[in-house]
Amino acid sequence: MKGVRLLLLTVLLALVIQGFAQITPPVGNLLIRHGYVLTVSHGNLEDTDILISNGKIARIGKNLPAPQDYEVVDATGLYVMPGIIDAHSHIALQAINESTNPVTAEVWTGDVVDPFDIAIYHALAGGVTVVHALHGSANAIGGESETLKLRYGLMDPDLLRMENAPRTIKFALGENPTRVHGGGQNIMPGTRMGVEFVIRNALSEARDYMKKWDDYNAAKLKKGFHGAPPRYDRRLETLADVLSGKIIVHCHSYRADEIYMLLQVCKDFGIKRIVFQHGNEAYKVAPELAAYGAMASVFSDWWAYKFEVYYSTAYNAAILTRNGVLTSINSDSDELIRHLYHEAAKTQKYGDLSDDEALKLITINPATELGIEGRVGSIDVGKDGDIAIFRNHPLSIYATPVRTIVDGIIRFNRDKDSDDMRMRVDPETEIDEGDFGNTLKSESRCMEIIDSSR
Amino acid sequence: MKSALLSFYPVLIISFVFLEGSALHAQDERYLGPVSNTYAITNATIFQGPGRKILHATIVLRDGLIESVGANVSAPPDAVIIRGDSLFVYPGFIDGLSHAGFVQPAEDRQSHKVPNPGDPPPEFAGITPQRDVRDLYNCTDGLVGSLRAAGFTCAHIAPCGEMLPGYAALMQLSCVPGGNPMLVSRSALFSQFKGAPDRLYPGTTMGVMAKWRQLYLQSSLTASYAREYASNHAGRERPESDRVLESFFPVISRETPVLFATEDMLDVDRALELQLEFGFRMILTNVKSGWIDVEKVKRSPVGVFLSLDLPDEVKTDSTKTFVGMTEEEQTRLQDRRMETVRKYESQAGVFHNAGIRFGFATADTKCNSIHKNLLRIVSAGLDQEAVLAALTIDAATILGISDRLGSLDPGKIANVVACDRPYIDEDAKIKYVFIDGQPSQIERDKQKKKGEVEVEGHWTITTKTPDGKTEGTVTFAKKDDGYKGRISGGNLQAPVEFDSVDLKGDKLVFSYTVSYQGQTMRVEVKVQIKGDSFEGTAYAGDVDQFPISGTKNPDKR
Repeated sequence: MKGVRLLLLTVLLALVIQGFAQITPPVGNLLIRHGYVLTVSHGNLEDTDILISNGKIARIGKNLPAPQDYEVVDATGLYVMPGIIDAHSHIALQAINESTNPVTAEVWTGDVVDPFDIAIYHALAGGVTVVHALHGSANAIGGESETLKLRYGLMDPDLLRMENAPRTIKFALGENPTRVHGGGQNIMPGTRMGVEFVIRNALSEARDYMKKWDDYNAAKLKKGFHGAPPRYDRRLETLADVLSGKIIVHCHSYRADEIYMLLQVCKDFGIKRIVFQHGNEAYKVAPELAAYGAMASVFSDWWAYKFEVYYSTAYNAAILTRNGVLTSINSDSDELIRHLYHEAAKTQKYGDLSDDEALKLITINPATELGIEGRVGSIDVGKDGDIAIFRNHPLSIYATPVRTIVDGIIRFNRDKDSDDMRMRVDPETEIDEGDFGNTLKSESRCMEIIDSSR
Repeated sequence: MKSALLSFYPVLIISFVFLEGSALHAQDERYLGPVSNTYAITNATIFQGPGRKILHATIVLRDGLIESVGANVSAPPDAVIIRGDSLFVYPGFIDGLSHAGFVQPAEDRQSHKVPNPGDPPPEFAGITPQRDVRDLYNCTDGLVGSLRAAGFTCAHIAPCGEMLPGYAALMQLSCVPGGNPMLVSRSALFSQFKGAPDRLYPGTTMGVMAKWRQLYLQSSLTASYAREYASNHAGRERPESDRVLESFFPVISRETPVLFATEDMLDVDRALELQLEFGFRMILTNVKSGWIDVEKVKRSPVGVFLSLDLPDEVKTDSTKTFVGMTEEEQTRLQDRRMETVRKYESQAGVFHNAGIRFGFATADTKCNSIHKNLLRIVSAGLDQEAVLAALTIDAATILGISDRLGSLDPGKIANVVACDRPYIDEDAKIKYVFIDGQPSQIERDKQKKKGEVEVEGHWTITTKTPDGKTEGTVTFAKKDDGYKGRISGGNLQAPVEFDSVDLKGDKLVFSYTVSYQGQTMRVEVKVQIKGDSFEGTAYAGDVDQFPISGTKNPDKR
């Protein structure tokens, strides 16, 4: 529940406490043996075992004894890396864009999690264990997003949420919000200037709103106070939490000028945690981003699908990395998500990143962008048992994911990969075609409903 | 050529309101009122409630209430007597959600263009919780009669719409001039996860969730300040008056539950989430795939009504083949579909086994599938007693009306259903339906042989075209050794007679010619009749074809 300002309100609500016991997702006990372990945090370890107890990495070492009732995975000759993390995805969601208003900070993709989406399994088959299920980019300020663990097989959407992951929100600059609202509805924002105004205006309103409630709550304590409470506004509640640093901003952006613009906005409003999504021209302002501590989550080599993404380069991730900008590589696609390891490898061809640097782009760096780096993103004792096991090095063109483990439970096993992994079947459709492999449909769903392009 | 043919659709596919001839004169007839206010069904098998079956018993209904029930009861001298020697008598069924009789205000159907789609007037965005279904209910709606014919005597009637259509009411499904069908008004605030139309806010489920929380929390604030203000006006700012927010007050004070239509399992989840956040009283209704939520539902203080709409059974005799797919693969896909259909059928059994009390809802169930679907639910494992309990006393208990309805006990409202066989029997037919002690429908014996195809009469047809689903009516009558017929309605200036009607076994073929904007086109319809329904294909001209289905309208005598 959000809203400190609402603390008093919830007391007024006369809630009936139902004592809903918190349901926790299942965790596994597992021993991975004799693997070539790419820890990402502390180098590579040959012929090493990883013991996962109750879903957490308990020990890393050689010839660890298998406790009773532990599942054992023989990783002899295989590569063991942290589960891949995708900082920009729209899988497992029943709705993506609440595109009816330029600012919809009050909506939350966590309300529309779809645990049955077959794309979750496809992502697992690419070694992915965590995704950032983002709101779309139709609005200058979109909704809050949800960080999900890919526990495919569980039917309760609550059990896919990554417990205690920080709140995040989607902002969007450039052609998408101007096309949807300016072009589509003839309202603000119709230009890049308009986008900036809409964001500044919303944040200013949130600041006023915070003050109104603070004044009210303070005045209330005085004797003989009779005033009416300010109007509750869930949109401004959320933005107030952005201003007070409780929510990480993930901003869809392409051009250097607009990226730099938003940096100024963040500076003016004291927003410190900012991740630029896509950021195709981020390389042009890499030193500025680094100086601010802003982060970037980019494509490896995807561009030219609309005007604002022509000035792009496959060296983007490498330039950002070399300039000290914490960077990740994301998918924004149900298809690309299956080979993020390959996308990361492209930075070795374009930019000569080291193995560790390339692997960080899809593990610890996206974890940091989501504020979950203490839990996942590297193979360290105490972290979640989220592991991807590959035949051949994951950065090799011959890499093949063979096991994907979430919380110590094998969620993808190449040897048991049946050809119908659907959890839910439409009883009235003769053949459920899905959209896998259809390149048109499997493109970014960022602008779903609005149109078929990003 | 294609476009020329498409232009025929408006003619071909008729959307119209069917008016039975007699109905046109109804206003001229004087309603005479019932002959007696006392009825007795004698010597019948009476199911008073779960586990309470009495043989050779009599039930006496007087002035709308049940006067007496039992084996030793005798019919009073002033009663109209119905000899129930072969009848099986049940409490009238209770429907957990229906929109029958709801008359959508005309302005609802208009498309709205507003200057700011992100902040539309609430009524454009499907937010009309201040509405009361009483003001928009018309019992002469055919659906009310069809539900009655299916044994339902009381229903939770909710307005149609999107996110917050308004307040529901518990209605007796009778329709007599000057009658009093209202049982409980403003029984629940109806809600569903439907976004606003016309790309207005809130457009998506996540938008609806956010708007719900916004409205609820703002209403809570407004309500509490309104209380403060009421206690002492002096020196205080006047609270804002907002009909939308005020509609939430009875929900916030827990006087009135929210009736949440949640067909899909994930919608069930979302409704439970809101309930958990705010603690309001809630009834889930029209649940279709809630079997995964059983544990959560069980832990929550909510009532549940399960949908009587089931997916069609998988046809295993299909000879259709799919390119690039082996027979084995096709079989596997088919097996998974059949397994899924079974899950829908066994939902009620799963709830029953989990010890959750539930009723049934008919909202989007075809009336002529209700009995058939209940039988499917029984053969999927729910025992008959539980089905009858769900239709009667359990529904009444969830709705808080078990002191008035749900069992055949003296003093309760005389809602009674009588069948010629035990209700859970394939061939059971409902013979009498009493609502408030008055017979609402008396079915005459049709003397129809099983399997015989009866084409004569009026059929409501539904056609799917690229323009959408549309309805019309066809009528068949005997002519010489064969049949004649016609199609009528909507854009057709006058009914069009069929050029030919040919019935062989259960295969019916008829054709007709339509003119539209100076062009003519021949339409041939080939269907297969199964009892009171048919399915097949309509061929328009040489090129177009589309699926057509029909259901027979009940005989009006």
